[in-house]
Amino acid sequence: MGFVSDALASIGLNEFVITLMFVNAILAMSIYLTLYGGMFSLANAGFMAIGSYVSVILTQNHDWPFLPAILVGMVAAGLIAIPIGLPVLRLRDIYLAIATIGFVEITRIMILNFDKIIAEVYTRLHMESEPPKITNGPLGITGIPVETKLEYLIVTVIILSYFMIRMHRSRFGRALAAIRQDENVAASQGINVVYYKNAAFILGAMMAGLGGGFSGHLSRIIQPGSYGFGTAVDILAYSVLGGISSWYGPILGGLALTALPEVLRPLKEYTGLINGVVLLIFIAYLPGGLGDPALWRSVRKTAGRIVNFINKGKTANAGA
Amino acid sequence: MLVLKHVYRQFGGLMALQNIAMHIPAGQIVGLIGPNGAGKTTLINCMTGLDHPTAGEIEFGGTPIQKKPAHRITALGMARTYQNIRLFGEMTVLENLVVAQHGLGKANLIDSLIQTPRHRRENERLRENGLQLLKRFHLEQNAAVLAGNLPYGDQRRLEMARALATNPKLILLDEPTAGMNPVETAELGEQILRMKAEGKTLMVVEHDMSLIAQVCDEIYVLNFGQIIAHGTHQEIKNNPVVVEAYLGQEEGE
Amino acid sequence: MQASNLVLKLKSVAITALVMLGIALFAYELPDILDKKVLSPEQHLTTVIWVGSVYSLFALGYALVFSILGVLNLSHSAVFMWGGYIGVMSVIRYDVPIYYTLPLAMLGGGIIGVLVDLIAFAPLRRRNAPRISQLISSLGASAVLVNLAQLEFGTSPERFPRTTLKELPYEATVARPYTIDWLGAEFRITPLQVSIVVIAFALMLLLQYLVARTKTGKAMRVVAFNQKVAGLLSISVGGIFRLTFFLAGALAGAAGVLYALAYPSLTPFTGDEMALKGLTVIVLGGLGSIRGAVLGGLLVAAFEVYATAIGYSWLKDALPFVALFLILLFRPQGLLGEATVKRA
Ligand SMILES: Nc1ncnc2c1ncn2[C@@H]1O[C@H](COP(=O)(O)OP(=O)(O)OP(=O)(O)O)[C@@H](O)[C@H]1O
Ligand SMILES: [Mg+2]
Repeated sequence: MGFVSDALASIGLNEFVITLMFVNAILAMSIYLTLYGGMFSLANAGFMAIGSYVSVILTQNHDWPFLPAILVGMVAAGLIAIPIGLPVLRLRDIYLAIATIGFVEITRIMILNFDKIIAEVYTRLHMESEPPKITNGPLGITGIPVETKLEYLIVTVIILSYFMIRMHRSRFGRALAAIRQDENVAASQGINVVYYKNAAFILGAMMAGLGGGFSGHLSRIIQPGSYGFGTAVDILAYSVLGGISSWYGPILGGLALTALPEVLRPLKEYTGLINGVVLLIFIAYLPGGLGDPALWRSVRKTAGRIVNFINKGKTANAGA
Repeated sequence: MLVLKHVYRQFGGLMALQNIAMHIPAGQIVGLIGPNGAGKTTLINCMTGLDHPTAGEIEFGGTPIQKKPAHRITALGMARTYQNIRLFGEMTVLENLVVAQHGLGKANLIDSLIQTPRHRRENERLRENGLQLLKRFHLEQNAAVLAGNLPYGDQRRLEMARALATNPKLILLDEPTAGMNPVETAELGEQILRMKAEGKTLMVVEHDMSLIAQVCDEIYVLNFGQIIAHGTHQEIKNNPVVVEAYLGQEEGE
Repeated sequence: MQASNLVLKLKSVAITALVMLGIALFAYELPDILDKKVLSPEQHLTTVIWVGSVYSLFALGYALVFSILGVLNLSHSAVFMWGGYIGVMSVIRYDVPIYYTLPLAMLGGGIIGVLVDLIAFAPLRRRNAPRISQLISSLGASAVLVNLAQLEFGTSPERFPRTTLKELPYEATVARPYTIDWLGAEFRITPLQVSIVVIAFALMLLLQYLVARTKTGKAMRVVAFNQKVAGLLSISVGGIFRLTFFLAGALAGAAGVLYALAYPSLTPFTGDEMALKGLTVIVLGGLGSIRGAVLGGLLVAAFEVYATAIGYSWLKDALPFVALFLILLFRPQGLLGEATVKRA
């Protein structure tokens, strides 16, 4: 094991980066669920923020243990998803995407100004006491204990993978797939479209909330700036570049896209540029994403051919 | 079984349906004919909840359904096919029929996560039903083919099978023979009569008058959103208003 | 048919005028409504107009690409930033007279726009990739453009040198505003701000003319309506796409220069903020509508300026998104949009 982690660290993937990779894999899975039901929702960065802040506030200000705290964060994200999903999921396509971006930004700004809002309420109500500082504005919450461990994340990814596999073959999953392909026809085959869309949205929100809880206890500090539009699109990029034709695509995408800039780090100031170029190449030449089953079949075939070729070379050499 | 009273549907300035009164009696096959753009598909959409009437009432087995969402109406026992085929193209033929039986299943996500016996039994049952339906429509050898890759005629038949899969009392067929050859059309006529024999009620929208004549007990004629005639095939055929409507269309084209 | 079209048109013009008037009045009265003491609300109204016109000009390209191709081009803001740099750096590095910076930036922006299409969109279009992939692809293009700017220009803020601004026939500094007395209110606006508003609105009118009145514009509208039909009418769909990206890029470039004239702090990340702002602008006005983009730009500027003026600067950031959220829920076609939106 030590040997493997040394090797990974030598290409820029130290333990922190690997942990982050798995956090992002969880986030990528969270958005896969809505995409699977044909919903182009970018809301998960907002749910991630909620999961993150709720859990961190619990561990920091109320001395909760880590596990219950992140579970509460997850549930909080799910609860907030209910009133958001009901109106918003009536929208489709780009309209849904933009509305959910609106939600993400509103959430970020609310967190950013939470203390100010509380203070305003205190003065309006003529309360004597000093208003509490909870989210601490743009500086965020600092000194958070690092509780997120790689093992937890791997276990979570395994559980979520099991969930996805089962989901695909369930009545629930089939309904989502039908909704994705033709919402109206799905409805007239007896599928309650509103129910299933919202259910997928809420479950996705909970996964994102969980991912947020993990990410909040990863780097000692959380700031509202890390949960905006950019993050929303990043999460989408993980799952799209990973490929949404299979459940493992988003995992691969989350892992690979988080690792990529770290691996490219030796390029110094060119890191960002090459990172962008690689993204462009991926999206242009891997239509099904990294997790495309067809891609892996052809990789296996090519690998087989190479192995054959080498073996032939060896036998030829041995013969000579 | 299905009763429509004073049904209107307006799209902006266009009156797609005007004061429609219809009655589809249980156990019968009702034909609905009319020139292109008459409003036939709009009428089916309003019946099935994909669209809703601007005004008027629709009763299905005594229940008012004009405001109900599509899945509720399906649960009450109505099913349909589409004029422009709308299968779930990324699913296999059998999966199309399994997902179509959604309302007949009960398993929830948790059942499938922990693989309860209910989930397993139900999956078995739905697949079995699906296979039965495939046999009935001679599609069994295509069970594992993606529905989007089926030949055209097979897609039409799969649509019928999918409508039947919801176990409906009333089936609405929107131009089921469009694009079919005479042999396929004749076979489809047989299938329609078989459904009737099993006690289903049907409404068939068709341009093919021979099929209408073959299967329908009574016929409604729609033109510019209005019912202009109603009666048996004989009565309709000799009705000057109907002849006029169709002639008018031919001159226009 | 003709008569009813005319009525529809008159109606929409009337609605536009009324809504704009409403915004102006609302913006003017807002501080009073909220019972906050604000220094010269009329002053803020002029700010709304000139800031808003930059926003509108920027958002116009966004809207144009969306209306013709149906995709959101997230690299639009990066083209905008490059436009600003082309303007500023051509003065700093090559002593280009300031008058030429606008056409230069428009040309440069246009070319970058076409390149973005070529690299990020065309390959995906060819294989009919879903729009979601195109969105990600445009994001990649944006990252590349921002990083290139970082490599070339560094990250410290750049500005038009003060001396060059003096080349303008009037002394275009904020210190010397015109004062206009009108209806007892005192409006102060600098010549620079006036020229920004004039240039922005002239470009917007030009685009409106191009799309609504010319043959090319007609071809664009046909392509937007239905690409197959356009093909049958032997309109070069690819050509129209490239033209669209060129025009959008040119508008972004112009907006970039105007922005750099107004704010002395251009960095490679200047665009990031605009990306989101532009999105809000085009949604508020109506996705893909030109007049909508103009209206949306003024609206967002009004939100910002007045929220700051009444001392709730945090509202400044939240208000546009709250408006965006509500608009999408209750009027998804936007305030001025006519397109039908699919809703379940
Ligand atoms: N969603 C809609 N919005 C606006 N107009 C519509 C809509 N759906 C249908 N129409 C119009 O309503 C009229 C009736 O259309 P419908 O599709 O019901 O005709 P139809 O009788 O099924 O014709 P066909 O024989 O061609 O299938 C047509 O003029 C059509 O353009
Ligand atoms: Mg029809």
